[in-house]
Amino acid sequence: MPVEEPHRVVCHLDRLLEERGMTLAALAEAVGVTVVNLSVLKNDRAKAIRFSTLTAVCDVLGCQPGDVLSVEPA
Amino acid sequence: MAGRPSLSSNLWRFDRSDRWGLTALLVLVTAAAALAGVVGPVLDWVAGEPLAVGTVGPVVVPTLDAVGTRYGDGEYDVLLTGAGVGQRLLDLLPGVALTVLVAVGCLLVQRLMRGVAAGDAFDPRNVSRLRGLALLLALGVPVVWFARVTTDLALLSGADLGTGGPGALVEVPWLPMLGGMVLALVAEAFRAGTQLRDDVEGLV
Repeated sequence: MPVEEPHRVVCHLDRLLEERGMTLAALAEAVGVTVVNLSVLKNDRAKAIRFSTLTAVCDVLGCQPGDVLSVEPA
Repeated sequence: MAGRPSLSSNLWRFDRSDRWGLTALLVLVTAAAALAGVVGPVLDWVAGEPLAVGTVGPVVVPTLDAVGTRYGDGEYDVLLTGAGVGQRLLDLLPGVALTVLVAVGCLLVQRLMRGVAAGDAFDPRNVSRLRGLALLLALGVPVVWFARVTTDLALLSGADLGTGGPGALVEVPWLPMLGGMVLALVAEAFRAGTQLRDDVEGLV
């Protein structure tokens, strides 16, 4: 049964991009998703992320999924 | 495989002319229901025409007796001359109910068509519309049918038909009821589709 409650997953793309001096548009192009979709992810408005997208983001940024996403304490 | 849409897929596409055509058809169907169920009887009433009430009685054709014909029941219109206001209004009730049923059904179809044509088939409101249509067919049509039969029997209860009283054909409208069940099933499929759309929305 799907969980209907709001999630507490926080995306750290902002920090990761800043550390690497990379723009969201460049990441979007490298990953192969639209800037709009990546912006949704960056601003914590995404409800889900495909493993393929997460893999591509991690490959481009040279990090692990745990660096991109974390769960806020309740 | 992605590519240009084939001719057959283009044929199935619901374009503007289809939408206009269906809207015109829905308006015609509603107008026909109103004409047959309300306007016609009211005009007859105003013109002082006798009230025609349907009944069922045995068919007797003496000239066919020689060849041994098996008789059945036939449908007749009994013409009640001098029908009172109460009888006229009672006769109008099933017609009004049917007209309302058809109008609501056509409105639901029109709204459904607009949503689907706009590319938003899995709008949650479409589930309600389909369920409404299913209810109209599965319950509304039999209720109106029952109202028609009981009204006709009530109107003829005082008439001397010489055949042992008025009769009614027990023809339960199975087809609309079956259609209603099928629509309820389609509504359930749309509900699942709506849920899927909600799941996919916000997927990156």
